[in-house]
Parts: sequence; structure tokens; C-alpha cells
Amino acid sequence: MLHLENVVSGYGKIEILHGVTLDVRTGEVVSIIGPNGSGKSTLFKTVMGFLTPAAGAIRFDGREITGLPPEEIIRRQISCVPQGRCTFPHMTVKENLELGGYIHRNRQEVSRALEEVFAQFPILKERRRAVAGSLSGGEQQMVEMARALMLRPKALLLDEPLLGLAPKVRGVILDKVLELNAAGGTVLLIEQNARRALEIAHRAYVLELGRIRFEGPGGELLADKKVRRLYIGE
Amino acid sequence: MARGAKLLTLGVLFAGLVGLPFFLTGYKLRFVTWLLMWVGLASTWNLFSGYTGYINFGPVAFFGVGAYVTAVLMVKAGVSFFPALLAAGVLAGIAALLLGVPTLRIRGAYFAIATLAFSEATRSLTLNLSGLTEGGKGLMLPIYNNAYFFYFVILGLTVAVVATVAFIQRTRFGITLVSIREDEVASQVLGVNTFLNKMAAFGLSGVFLALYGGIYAYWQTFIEPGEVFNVLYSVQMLVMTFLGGSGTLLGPIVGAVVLGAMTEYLWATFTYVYLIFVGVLIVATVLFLPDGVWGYCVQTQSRRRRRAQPAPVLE
Amino acid sequence: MDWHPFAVAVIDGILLGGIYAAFSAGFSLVFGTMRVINLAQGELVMLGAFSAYWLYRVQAIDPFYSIPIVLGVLFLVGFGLQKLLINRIIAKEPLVSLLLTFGISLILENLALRLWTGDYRTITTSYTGSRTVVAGVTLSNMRVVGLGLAMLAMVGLFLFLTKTKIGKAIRATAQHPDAARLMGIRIHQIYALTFGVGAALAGLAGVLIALIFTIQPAMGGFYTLMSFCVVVLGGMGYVPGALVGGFVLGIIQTTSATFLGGHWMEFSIFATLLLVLLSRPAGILGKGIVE
Repeated sequence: MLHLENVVSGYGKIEILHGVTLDVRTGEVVSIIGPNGSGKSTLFKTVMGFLTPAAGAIRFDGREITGLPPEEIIRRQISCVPQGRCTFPHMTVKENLELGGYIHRNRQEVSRALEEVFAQFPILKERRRAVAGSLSGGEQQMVEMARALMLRPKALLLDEPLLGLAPKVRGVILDKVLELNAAGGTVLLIEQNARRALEIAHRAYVLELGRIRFEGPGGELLADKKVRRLYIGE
Repeated sequence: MARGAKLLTLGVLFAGLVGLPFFLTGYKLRFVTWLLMWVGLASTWNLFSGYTGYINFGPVAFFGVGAYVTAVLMVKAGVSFFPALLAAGVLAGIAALLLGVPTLRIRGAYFAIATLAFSEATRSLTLNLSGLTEGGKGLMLPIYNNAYFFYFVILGLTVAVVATVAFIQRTRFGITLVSIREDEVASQVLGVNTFLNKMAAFGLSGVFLALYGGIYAYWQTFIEPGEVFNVLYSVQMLVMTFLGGSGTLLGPIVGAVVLGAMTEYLWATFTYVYLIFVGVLIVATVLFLPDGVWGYCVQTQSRRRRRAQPAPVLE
Repeated sequence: MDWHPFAVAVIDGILLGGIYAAFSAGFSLVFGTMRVINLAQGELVMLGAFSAYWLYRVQAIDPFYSIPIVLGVLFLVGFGLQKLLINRIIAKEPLVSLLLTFGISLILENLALRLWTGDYRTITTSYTGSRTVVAGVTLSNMRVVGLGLAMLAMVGLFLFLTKTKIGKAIRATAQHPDAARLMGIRIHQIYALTFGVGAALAGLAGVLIALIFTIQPAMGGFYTLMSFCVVVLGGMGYVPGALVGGFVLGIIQTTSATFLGGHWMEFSIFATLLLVLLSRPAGILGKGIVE
């Protein structure tokens, strides 16, 4: 569904990704792990259109999306949860979610999507009048996930969703990801927490210094001695 | 350019400037004097704002203070020109330091607005303290009609300003100022006392501006607050520097000569149109030539040099 | 009842303050959403004032009826300026926008001076000088109506920003532009819209000003400076703060004029601006954006 072909990207003259090729097939959970500085953030920004690749191509759902700005890529029904706090801090949970449905054509679609999302995240329904900036890290992360789902996307990208969250909360987030996938959603997870990321992945890639170093089924990579030593620290 | 060739060019230029007034008369001499003053004013503005990146929107405040201190001392206290001018410079320096303490703590746009507010407040104050300054009626200085005198005094001051900037550029002080523009926080983290450096540059620019103001007052013989505290003068210093390229030595000089010449040509004929033209020029410069004319030339030069060597690949 | 001159000054200040709040709200909105400092704000007010004047002079349209026209025209002007010029420098620091909008203000002001000369103009209608006496205080009707309409505009702006989809999109863009783009919001359109709204508000204030004061093409500079004062007092980028800032400034203006004399009014305003910037840049309410 999502295909990167030899993508070269970076910031101005500094090249970070030196030709990355990877695939995310429909219905899969694919994880990308790797140490700090390997280019994971750059990869995320390039796929979502914040950076334009210097070379290579990105295709989604059969159509080329290389070089499109984020607001257009969203319209192809690919949604994301970026790194760090990305909620609209001075707006309520409900308003945040409604903005997730910005590109829907009418109010009914938005309401329907909102109901679905509330069903999946009952906590958010409870806290729907709370101002997003006053929520805890884990709750804000959930708002962002729910907001991304308002789009009814075909694929969901998550950039370091577990960063800065307590272990229990991490579990909740990952459960949500699995729920999504079980319901037929395609997920690309970029995560530094290698163990967890590999545990839930169908397939995974290891990104290091801007290149794909390993790839394979999640379980295999998890069991691989080299991978364990380098990235899980055992 | 080789060192020897550079010195030779400077020498010829200097000789030319020294000899020039003897070939010009009346209007043309006044024009060249006026142009030299603006080269100096733009360079002074650049000294602080161009290098530190703190855009001073009210430099005319010090210009006006210099003009009025000089004028008041000469008219009301009978002081002669040079001592009065000196006093104006010292007072302005002190005023700059006093203003700098609270203002240099704030950054960017807020600093710009604060300096503008200061400039306008000073103008208003001067207007209101009419007992001292004769307010809106204006102040008449002792008449001194020696055009050559003013040419050489302004030439001297402008050479001093340009030389100062050239000197600062090469010293650690200069590099520190630029580091403030590039990333002040990083500078501070590295142990640089950015505050003192900013103060020094701000104070120095204040002194120079006041000196120009005092000379201008004596030269024009008649001053009033609306003129020597005119916001448009601040704008002109800014535009000349930006047009030519801020943060460079030659930028303000190029900008001042170009804009000054245009002003002279357009002003007499079309008053409002001249300002429309300045507006268009500012818009065009911001959009297309953010580094100014000279800055653009400098960039093209370095781009050509860079193309000769391949860029290193990051491992 | 004989009112103490201070109270009269305060009331006058409040009447003026409402109008100041109206055009400053747009200034604050623009800064809060795109970090653009619009030095041409006063010129937009001037354009609004002169549009009302010429519509009245040439077409005999009552200024109150010209308000919708002015709102529309100024919105388009603002939208156009943003789309064509200002959007190109959005990513850069506010200082760049300061310079660009300053250039635009020079062009607008001097174009107006060239076309309409520096003469002072007034709009004189049948109701211009009318006054009402309330509890012993003589109030100029125009000023009261001006305050009323200005407040209406502020309420309108508030509703627009909190209840409409586009309004929320503007706020989202102000709070987190990248996240807004990820919602599919085309932020460059939003910027143009926001600037247009700010311009329309300025235009409305201009009409009200034309009804109360004499106008001339160089009036812009004063009103830009007023916008600054209001917005710094109320908090840069904090739209509701414009109300507080507007009233406070209005009161400072009228009380200093009454007690210190006309000349010192200007000085009081600049001194206030400077003092607030140096001591409390986030404004009276402390909610302004400080870089």
C-alpha cells in the first residue's frame, strides 16, 4: 500500500536518508526501528510531505505522493500521529477531534466519525470538554490517535508514539494499534523502543545511519541475536 | 584583491574625496556632503543592527538628541561648536547605555517596537519642553556658512565610522556581534557576555548618530523636532542598509549612494511618488533580494567559488 | 449632576477605546496566527475611512450602509495582499514581515496622498453633531454608536473564531501550524483569510472613525502606532486582550489630554508603550506571545 523507492532525503545540503526502499502491505503492521540519529524522524517527515525527497519516489495506494505537501497527502487518506505533543492545546478534546474530520464534506460525516472514535476511546468521550493542553501525556497521545482516525484513513503512521509515556500507558497505546490493525487498518510504526515495536509487527525494518540494515518478519528480527544485541541491548 | 592593490585603491579614493570639494560649488557640493552624511548614518546603523541582528527602529532619536544638545548648548549657553558637539556625543552615549539596559533584554520585533516608541517619545518630549528647546517653533543656531568646513567634518566622521566598522569586523568583538545575530542563546551558553557586547555596539552607534546630528544642526542652522526626530530618517538608514546588504562593510555605502541619488532625482519632482517608489523598493528587496544588492553580489561570488569544489558527503 | 472631569475623561476614553479595540483585534489575530506584524494596519483603517467618505460624497450612500461594502472591499484588499506578497515570507521571522508591511504602508499612504491630496475631510450628515444627555453627561451620539458597532464587531469576531469551522481552523493554525496541515487545512489559504478578516475589521473601524473625526490620507501612521499600544497592552496575539488594551489606551489618551494638555497626550501614549514593553511585554493580562 505504501512504497518507498530509493528515497534520498535530508535538510538542505545535509543528506540523512541515503536511498531507502521499503514496503507496507495492506493490512500489515510494519515497524521501523533504529538508534537515535538513524533518520527515523526524517523518514516520517518525508513520507508525510514536510520534506521533499532529493531523489526517489513514494507511492501510496498506487498513486505517487512524492513531493506533495502534508495537507494534500492527508487527502489521500493516509493519517499520522507525529512525535511530541501535537494537539491543539487551547482547544477541547472534542474540538481537536472535530478538526481531525476537517476534510469531511458535511457535518453528518464528522458526527459519525466522532461517534466511532468515541466508541473506540471511551476515555476521550468522558473528557471531551477538557482542554487538550491540560491532559496527561498519555491522554494527549490518545487524542492524537483518535484525531488521526477521524479521517477514516487507509493507513496510519505513528512516529515514536511511546516516547515519554509510562509503561502501562505504552501498553494501552499498543493495544489500540493492534485493535486498529485487527479491524483492517494498515499501520507503519516508527519507534525507538525496539522490543515492543518488533513484538507487534508483521514485518520490520532496521534503519541505521540513513540506510536499511535489516528487514524481515517481526518475530524473526526479535529472535535474531545480532538485532537483540545492537538494538534491544541484550 | 591583493593587499597592495586594496590600499592603493583606498588611497586614490581618499585623495579623490579630499580633493573633490574644490571642483564643486553650491548645490552639488551640498549634495555630496549630504550623501557622505548618509553613507555614515547607514554605516552607523549597520554597525549595531546589521551585525547583531537587533533591528533598531529609532536611531533618529540619537541623531535628534545630538542635534538638540549641540544646538541648545551653543544657543543658550554660548558654548562653541566642537565642545558642544563633544558634549552631545557623550550625553548620547550615556543615554544609549541607559536605554540599552532595559531594552537589550528583549528581542526581535519587540525590540524594534520599543526603539520606535523611544524615538517617538523623545520627539514628543523635545516638542513639549519648549522652554528649553523652543518646541515647535524651532531653534536657530549661530550662522556659519562655510561649505568646505562641513564637507570635511562630515567626511572625517564618515571615514571614522567606516574605518571603525572595518576594524570591528576583524576583531573578536565583531565576530561576537555576528554570533549574537546567528544564535544568541548558543553564544551565551558558550560563555559570551552577549549583554556587554550589545551594549558596547549600541552605545557606540548612539555616539556616532549624535555626532552626525550635532553637525547637521550647525550645518542647517535651523532645526525643529519634526525634522531631526523624523521617523523617515530612521527608515532611510534601515532601507539604505538593507538595500545594500546589512552586516557587510560596503552594503550600507552602496545602499546610501544608490538611494541617495534616487532621492535627489525624484524628490524635487514627485514628492509622494518618491515615497511610493521607496515602498516598492522595500517590498521588492524583502521579497527578492533579502541580502541586499551587495549581499547578493557577495553570495554570487561565494556560490561561484563553491561550485569549483564538490560538496563533502556526510558519512 | 456635575461630573468630575476625570470621570468624563474615562467615559470618553471608553467610547474611543471600543473602536481602538476593533481594529487592533485584527492586528492581534494576524500576529497570533502567522507571527506577522502588520505595519500597514493604519493604512487599512485609512482606506476604510476614505471608502466611506467617497461613497458618501459621490454616491450619497449613508456611511452606515457603506459598512458592508467597506467590509467586503477591505477583506479583498487584505486577502490579496496576503496571497500575493506576505505569504511569500511567512516562514521567516516577524522582523521580515515588519519590513514588508512597512513598505506596503508607504505605498498605500503615498498613493492615497497622491490621489486625494493631503486635505482634511469630514463626513457631515444630518446626524453628525447630535448629542444625548444621560445622567447629566453629554455624549456624542456618533461615539456611542461607534462603540456599539465596534462591540458588535468584536462579538462577531468571537463567534466566528469559536463557532465556525473556518474560525476553528484559524485558531488551530495559530496554535500548531504543522498539526493543522495534518488535518488537511491549507494554511496558506487560512493565512490569506485571516489577513482579510483583520483588514475588514480595520476597514470597519475606519468607517466609524470617519464618522467621528476628520480624516486625511496620512492618518495611518497614528493608528498603526495605536494598534501597537493596544496589542502590547492587551497581549500580542491574544485577541480578547485587544478589548482590555483598547479601553485602557482610550482612557490614557483622554485623561492625559484633559489633565496634562493636548501636547502631552502623544508623549503619554508612547511612554506607556515603552514602559509596558520593557516591564511586562506579555501585556496587562500576561497572555501575550513573547518570543
